[in-house]
Amino acid sequence: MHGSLRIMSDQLADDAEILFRQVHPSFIQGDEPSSQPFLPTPKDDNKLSLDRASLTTALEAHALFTSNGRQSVAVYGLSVGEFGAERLPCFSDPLKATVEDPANPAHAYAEYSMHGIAQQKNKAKRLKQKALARGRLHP
Amino acid sequence: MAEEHKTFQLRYVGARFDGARLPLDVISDLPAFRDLLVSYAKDRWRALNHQRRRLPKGFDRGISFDLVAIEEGSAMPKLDWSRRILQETLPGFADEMEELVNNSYDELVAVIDGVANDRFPKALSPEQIGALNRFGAGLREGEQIEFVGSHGTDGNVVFLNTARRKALITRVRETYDARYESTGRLAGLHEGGRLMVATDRYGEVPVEIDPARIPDFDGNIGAEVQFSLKIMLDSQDAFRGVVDVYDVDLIDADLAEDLDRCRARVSELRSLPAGWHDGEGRAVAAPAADAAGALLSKRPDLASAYRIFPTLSGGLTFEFETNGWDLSVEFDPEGKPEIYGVRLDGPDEIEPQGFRELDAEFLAVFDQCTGR
Repeated sequence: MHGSLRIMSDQLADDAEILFRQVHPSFIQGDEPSSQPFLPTPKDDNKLSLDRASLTTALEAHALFTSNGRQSVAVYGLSVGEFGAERLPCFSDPLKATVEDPANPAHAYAEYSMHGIAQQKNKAKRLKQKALARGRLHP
Repeated sequence: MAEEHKTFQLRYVGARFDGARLPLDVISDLPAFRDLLVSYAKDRWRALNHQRRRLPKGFDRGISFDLVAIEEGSAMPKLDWSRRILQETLPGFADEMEELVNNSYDELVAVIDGVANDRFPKALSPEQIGALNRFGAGLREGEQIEFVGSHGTDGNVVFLNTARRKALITRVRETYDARYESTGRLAGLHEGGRLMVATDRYGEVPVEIDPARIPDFDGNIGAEVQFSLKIMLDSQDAFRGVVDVYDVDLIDADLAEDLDRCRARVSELRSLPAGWHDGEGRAVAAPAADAAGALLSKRPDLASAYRIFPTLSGGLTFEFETNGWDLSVEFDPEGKPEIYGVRLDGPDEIEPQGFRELDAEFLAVFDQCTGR
């Protein structure tokens, strides 16, 4: 979540909406990503950062993500419904600009906190399978 | 012996024995167990009969066991000793023999219980050492053979495991036998039927094979081979020789290439600096990289499927699809493995299951998950 300022969070209701996820270069081998990009890290507080396709494109989301030096070599997408099938509700979470980060009105997150880490690991695996089936969205 | 039959039961404990499964490579324990009892019985008989220079005719044959069942729990082979055979081979000695064998069993259990408490027999006969060296030789780390119904000095059932075998055998002789399964590189071959295999753990190991198989290996110096051996180690676990060759084969060129790719990947990830994940992420720890290398050696067949990634905590994770599953083996920074996964075409899951090390218990679960 990068410490940016949150405005408000509303649960996303359109199951068809695609949410973009950035993949770090160390989490991809050949053409296949690890399931780890689909799992919140300890500092994420059980919230997986995403960008809403209804408000940005995969290309723009990637450009914004990497604009301050963060690394991403691939953008994958999952629908709100696919997160929902894993009982992971998604919320809009537009971020205001800070000294460190530009504003990101398309920011959203999937909430993992109702599941323990053991469950989260297998949910990340299922999400990776669905993202792979959809294919890499950028570049 | 009031009853027509007497039974001895052992319990094999370890994931590989679950569901009353007794792998063929441990079946040879059963005749070794019987030979152990016979060797103790002979010693007892001699001690009780100083004046007689020879054992009664039929002594050995009278102690004849049949495997009559393998019961659940993990696997409990049941050995039946028939009174009828005993009476036929040693007429008039049946009751004395029963007592002798019962006492021999108790003595054997007491010897193994003693090892757990750092008490060792002053000496063992060559026959006892020979049988002991065969009994439990197929055990892997984390597995044990329990003597059902026994009670040790701590009140618990007495068991034999790899550590106790090693301690007992090397106390009375210099070496002991153990199973060794891994991969290495073909370093040389001799027409007479010997391969020299360079291994990471024991250097060059001579592997005797049927000379007719030499042409299969000819022209493949430097190629990767996988093998399953019984080897002789000393009390410091230094290699002394190969006792038996169960299996040795060239790994095909594609598989060798995949293994090289995996090893290069581990090496590449090992060089990631701390903070590799946009400021987060510890450097990959050496024990995790070592454990990853061990998995590649022990289960090379899946090298083409393995995708290897760092973890933020300084470990490594193998992700791969096989047998209808998307599986992960995650090594923490200490090299302890955890396995989990999801079924690709259904809701089934394997919840994360952790292990102390890459031991037999882990490999048994790994093999079950991967359908080996």
